[in-house]
Amino acid sequence: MSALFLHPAFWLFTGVLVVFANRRRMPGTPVGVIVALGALLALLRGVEGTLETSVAGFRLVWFHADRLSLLFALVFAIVALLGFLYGSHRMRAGETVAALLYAGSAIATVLAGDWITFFVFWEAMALSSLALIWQGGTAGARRAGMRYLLVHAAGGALLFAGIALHLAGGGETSLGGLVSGSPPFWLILGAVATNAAIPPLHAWLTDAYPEASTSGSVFLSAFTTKTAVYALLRLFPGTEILVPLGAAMTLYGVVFAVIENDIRRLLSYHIVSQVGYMVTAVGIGTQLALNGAASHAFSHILYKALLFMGAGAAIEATGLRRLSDLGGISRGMRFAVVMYGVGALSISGAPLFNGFISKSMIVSAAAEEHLLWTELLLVLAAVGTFLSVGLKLPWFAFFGERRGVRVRPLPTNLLAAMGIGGGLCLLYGVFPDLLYSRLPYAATYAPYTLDHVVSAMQLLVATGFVFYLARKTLVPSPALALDTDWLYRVPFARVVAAITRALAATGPLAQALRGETVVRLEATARRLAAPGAPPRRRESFAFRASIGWTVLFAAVAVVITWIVVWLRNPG
Amino acid sequence: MAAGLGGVIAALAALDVLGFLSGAEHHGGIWNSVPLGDLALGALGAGILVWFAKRILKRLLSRPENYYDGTRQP
Repeated sequence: MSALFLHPAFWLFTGVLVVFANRRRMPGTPVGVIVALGALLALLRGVEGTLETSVAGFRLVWFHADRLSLLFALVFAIVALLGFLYGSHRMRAGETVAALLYAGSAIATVLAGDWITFFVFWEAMALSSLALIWQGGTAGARRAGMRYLLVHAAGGALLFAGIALHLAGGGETSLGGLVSGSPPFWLILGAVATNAAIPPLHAWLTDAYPEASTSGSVFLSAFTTKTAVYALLRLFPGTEILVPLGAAMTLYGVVFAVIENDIRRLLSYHIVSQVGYMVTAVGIGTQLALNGAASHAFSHILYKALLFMGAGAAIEATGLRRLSDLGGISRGMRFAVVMYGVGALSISGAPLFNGFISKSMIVSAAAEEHLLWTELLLVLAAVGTFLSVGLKLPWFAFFGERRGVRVRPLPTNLLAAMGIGGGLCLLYGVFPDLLYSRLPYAATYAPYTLDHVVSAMQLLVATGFVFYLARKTLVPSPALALDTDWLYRVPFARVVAAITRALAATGPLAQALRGETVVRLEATARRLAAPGAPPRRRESFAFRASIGWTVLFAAVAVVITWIVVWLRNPG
Repeated sequence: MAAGLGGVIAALAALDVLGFLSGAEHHGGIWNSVPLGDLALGALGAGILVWFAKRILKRLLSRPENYYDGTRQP
């Protein structure tokens, strides 16, 4: 019983009930701060042991703590606390509930000890993150959320199919035990790759994250992709295909970031790039590499949250989100700009910042295994990271040409969250053993050698020099760059619309495909959450159709999986 | 500006040479075995990235911001 109360997710799920019950009487975010702090303290106390129950013959392990899962749970709790503190001046009950569910589900996923519990919380994470995106409150957020749902329904179906086949084939219920190269192995890897945003399955991230609210983006930057990294570390260490995929991923995100104009989309491309380092390290599979992946995930969550806080601060202060609209606003938000700089130096791997102590571990692991091309790509990606996050974004948003943009003062809670986030990036950068002592394997890595430091400094200086020369070429322009989401935003959407219209005369099927029932359910849920609120206007055809097709797709995937499972194991 | 940058590069070069003279361990690619190799790689890499992104990728993939507005996307 004590383990239940010490389960960090228990704190966050309890917070959901408290906020929901008091949604008219008090703002939710103080509750968010308190329960996230409770979860963090529970983790810092060093909870251990196992909590399990048996349901329908399945052994469900709700809580299984080891060094890997505790490391991820700890940083999830830290960023949840920072996120609630950051957004406490603006988050309403709905967004707080979504964020609590999202953070709680992410922590519960990494602490799950069996496949079924893992699947349940993995999917809870997908749905709560969708709710968080929709809390952005704009038409763009609602549409991006639908596309997010489409992709994650596909990923969820793959995961479900993989787990069902694994269990039907006599696999253990405890997490792990996948046979390399088997159908469950590839299905589950596909699902995890979707959540890890491995190109070409990445566009949901760069599409949806910039559309959430400023505080929503902070939460989103932390959980989904890093839970996928946790799953890769847990289930697929040493899978060689991940090395080229991850290395390509690091450069993919960087190149798109160079031409991106939206500040949060630019940072989102750098999530793709940074997760690429972790994917590469998982593929390399040595102890140094796996430690590198885990430590870089830890570092990345902290500095990426800080960077999204900085971007959000610029948006809150000016109401603008495009580099081409911003410029010269640093005078009105000096502390936020300094803290953004801490995040930028961290992600760029500058010595004394936390990215340095984790990223160099992965590059060294590639070097130790004589993966020359991989190492070269990782180094080039580091150069590109500093170019766009460390130089381009701050130059064109905070410094550069002043455009007469009015800068509103930022609230204290926002600055406090940024201060704590920046402090943690520095703390772990200066005292790496604080992180290394928590890694899955015993760490003997020494980041602060003359070779490493001078090498990192040379890369940064050279990049700064090139930026100085090319700064006029890099002037952002108001445009978007096509990415792989074009495939389902244009040709796939046209096919779906054509089929749905062709079936329009068939009554119930057409109604199901148009998502009428789901839209009604959503309206009912909205009335329950906010009684008396005016009904939303009727949703567009395309919006409803995408819901219907998502549900249909998931249902077909489930039915096919069960048929395959039954054929394999009819008894 | 130029003098400052020159000073930083000189300091890095001195540290790099010191590292080589002291016999400190260098591992990895060839750029790690040459004094100021990382500086050259960084400059070359950043230059290629800027050229590729702005001259190739942007021309191929850049569209007006309202590109998707007329489509039947969700």
